[in-house]
Amino acid sequence: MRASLATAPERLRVLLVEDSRMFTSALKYRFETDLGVDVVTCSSLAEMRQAAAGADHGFFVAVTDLNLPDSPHCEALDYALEIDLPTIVFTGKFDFNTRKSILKKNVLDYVIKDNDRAFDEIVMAVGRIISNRDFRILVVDDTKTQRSILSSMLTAQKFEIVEAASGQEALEAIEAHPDISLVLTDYHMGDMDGYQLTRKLRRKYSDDVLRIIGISNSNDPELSASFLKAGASDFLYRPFVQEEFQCRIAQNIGILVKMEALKKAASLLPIVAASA
Amino acid sequence: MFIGLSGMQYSGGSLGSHRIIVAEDSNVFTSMIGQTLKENFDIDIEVCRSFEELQLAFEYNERPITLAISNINLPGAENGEALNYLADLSIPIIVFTGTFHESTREGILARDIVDYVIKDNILAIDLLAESVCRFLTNHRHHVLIVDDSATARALLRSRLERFNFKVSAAENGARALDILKVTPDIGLVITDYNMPDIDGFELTRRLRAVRGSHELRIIGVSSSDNRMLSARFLKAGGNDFMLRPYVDEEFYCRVNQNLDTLDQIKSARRWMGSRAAAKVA
Repeated sequence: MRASLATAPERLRVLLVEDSRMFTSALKYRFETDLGVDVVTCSSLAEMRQAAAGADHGFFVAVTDLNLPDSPHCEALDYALEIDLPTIVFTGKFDFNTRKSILKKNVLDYVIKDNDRAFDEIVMAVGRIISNRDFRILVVDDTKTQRSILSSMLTAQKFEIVEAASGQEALEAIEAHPDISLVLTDYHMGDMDGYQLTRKLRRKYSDDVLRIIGISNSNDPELSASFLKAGASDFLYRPFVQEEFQCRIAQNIGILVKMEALKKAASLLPIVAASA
Repeated sequence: MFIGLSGMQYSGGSLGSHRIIVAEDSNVFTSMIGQTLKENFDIDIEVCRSFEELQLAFEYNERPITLAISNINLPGAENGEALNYLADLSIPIIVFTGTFHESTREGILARDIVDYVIKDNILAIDLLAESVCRFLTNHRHHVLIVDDSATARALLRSRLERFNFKVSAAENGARALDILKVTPDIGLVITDYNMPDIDGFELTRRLRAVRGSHELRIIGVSSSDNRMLSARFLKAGGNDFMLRPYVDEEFYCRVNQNLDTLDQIKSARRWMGSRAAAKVA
């Protein structure tokens, strides 16, 4: 894990676009208190255009309702994309058409606001994007196209990325970047397969400091077994489903964070006991 | 506290009351296994170096065997007879094997084993220790199965019971909500998607309305021909999902990962609680 950027003096700015006043003020409050970010709120596309005008708007991320009075067809989202502002959207309900159209627009994440949990979900989604910047991921695949797909999916989520085109390169990369917290590796590679790479990595790095996610094809499920038995933490099926991909990465990063906290807790416990 | 390689943690007391047989002829491995299990869990293993010793251990000692850790082949049982013998006696088995081949894997998984560990690397003993600890402590975890098909429920139940989990089952969403209301110790729900009253998403949504991810994990199950269902499960508040047909290793990994996370959250909360208490004191 890299030194947290959250402690940097400059506070991150979040643009919140939503027409329900109740929702806006509740979310603004949660963002400010839970995440320590500055929030600018807009209730329409027109206001959004004003707030984000100019290349130096300085917003880190936009959180926008899919439909607004002056933007009935995702125009607010389109505008955010137009000005290269990474966006998390919330939408009233889940349907596959909406999903397809928003994912096509490269949104970072989407949250369905059909229950009380929605607030937590949105705060968590923004929180993840903020903390992702503290993690470096090594992408291992001998096909350039596949590497690029993975890298761009992860870069969009604000992760730091290192790429390797072979098992050997992966081993060298991890030596060169000791702060790598997660390795995402394909199975079939020229010099060694994913099983061998996983075993080699596991000799030096245990699961509580380095997560390894293997990638298998959905038509060959036995590869996942092979990965897991070599010591991989998890695996993903290709072709990727974005929600699935994000869930796996977030889950594994989350485990690292929790293990880190536990270790810290264990090392602090005697002090607490002594002072009590 | 024992922290396993894949994230399991155990800080309970001695597990020494369990009778554990290790059927393995290599002295190096038996002594490493013995030492690790003794150190971490206070378990005194019983070593059987041949098929004959294994048979004698069962026949001349009436104390029930909780778990057998067995190599595929032993002197006197060069073709996996030891595994068949143990399986016929319904003794839970963790296979400890030198090789990983597709054919070996299929052969050992066909016997409904608990787990298998490949002893080709230095992590093998630690992985084995974690696997043993999981089996001996899984009963702490209560899992609720939700599926309208009796066959699917039975299959899932036997799979979970093989790992020693405490299992309940519901044939529809309404029943699942009822069971959950009166059974606060359920930590994991594994739910099917297609059900007559409410589907898996709706159930997930309703469960989430009353119990957060820190106290209840939800794994959705969908068939591999509709990958998009996973997206919906996750967005409805599910923590994870699995594809059917299950791959054994994958199934156990998903279930374990979610229960480990639950444990980690619990101990983090306990720790915060004890810190707060210490501060007040």
